[in-house]
Amino acid sequence: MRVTLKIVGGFTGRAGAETYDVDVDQLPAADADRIRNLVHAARFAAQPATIKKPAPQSWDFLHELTVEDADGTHTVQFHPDAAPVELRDLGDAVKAIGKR
Amino acid sequence: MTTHRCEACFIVPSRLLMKLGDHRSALISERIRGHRIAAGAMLFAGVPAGEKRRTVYDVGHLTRLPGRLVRGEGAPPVADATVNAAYDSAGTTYDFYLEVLKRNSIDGRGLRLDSSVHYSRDYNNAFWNGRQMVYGDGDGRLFTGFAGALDVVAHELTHGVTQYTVPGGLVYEDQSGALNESISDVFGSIVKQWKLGQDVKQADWLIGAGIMAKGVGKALRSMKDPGNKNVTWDGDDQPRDMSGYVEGGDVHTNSGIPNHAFFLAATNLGGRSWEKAAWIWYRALPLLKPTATFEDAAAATIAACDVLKLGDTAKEAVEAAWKAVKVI
Repeated sequence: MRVTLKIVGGFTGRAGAETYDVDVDQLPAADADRIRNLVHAARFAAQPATIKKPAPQSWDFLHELTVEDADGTHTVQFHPDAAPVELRDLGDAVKAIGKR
Repeated sequence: MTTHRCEACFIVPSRLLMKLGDHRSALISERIRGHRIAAGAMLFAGVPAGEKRRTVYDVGHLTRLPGRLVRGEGAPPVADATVNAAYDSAGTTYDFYLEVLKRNSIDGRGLRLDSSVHYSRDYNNAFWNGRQMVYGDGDGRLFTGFAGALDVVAHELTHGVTQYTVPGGLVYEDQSGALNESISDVFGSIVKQWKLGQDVKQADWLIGAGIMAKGVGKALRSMKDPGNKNVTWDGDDQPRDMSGYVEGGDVHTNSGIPNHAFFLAATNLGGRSWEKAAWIWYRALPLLKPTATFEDAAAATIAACDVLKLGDTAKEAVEAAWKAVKVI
């Protein structure tokens, strides 16, 4: 399983997107379990492709999570304010682990 | 007799403290005066035009804003060139809005200009967060920094101008979002041209020239030639007219179309972009709505020509620009 988070916005848009990439199979067991559990808790594959705020402003960066596994690849674009907490938690975990 | 209740009035103005060499007290005063909540900004009717109030903070490569106050209004330059660049460029942008467009800061009432530099680590971006500007340093591989580029600073400040001038703001998605981005690029470019004293033929019409790392490219976007990777960089995906419009596309992608419309209008009008074109685009802002489309922007800029009494020649120049990008 591979999970990627991109955070898009600001002056540079996609050109300067913060990107965090995690190869779950290469992680220590505890981290790998955490990510898999968060993907499951978020029911990621069932999430719609976009979850946006009703009237986003220029400071509302768009988060883009992609999960690639044996079942295929699915991407969800979301504003954190509008997303379920489980999706936000998954993004936060990918950012924390991907930063190391 | 009414008593004036002032949340942050000081006997000795911070400017005088700086002159006297009491930098520490001045910075403390500015910090207390500076935070909008503590200063009770709502108690003030506004600050007189011409009185800049700049503060620059150092986030120390963390992300908690605003950071440590390192330079206040009137304080001398510090050792950190990034701090000084943010301070100077905020001042230049303020001066442009006041001297050319007769606007007193971002909100028209003397709003403080707060900038935070050294945001996060290897941060390839800058942004306006609804209250202040924030600048990363770049990762050195893609970008080399942001606060040092005047058009970037003016771009970010202009997001604030849009926020305060378009009734309800411009929703940051679809065409209204692309307009939001374009307006910031437009005034980012104009402020740079104004500072350099360039007319529309001399201007390079590049956005983010000089902030790309060596070997990556020359600029982030081009208003004169959107999508031409030879003048920008490999990732430039901007369309120049509606035939390249991307449905649901990123606001930084589709902004190429209204950007090019402004370039064409300004060059059709000739002379210096701030003399007529800037006024037309600025006067159009209050005519827009939060979900404005490119067609709405075309109508607003054409209507602005009448409001400004610029005559048929100006109107035709603006109409021709929007027709050339196939919006009308």
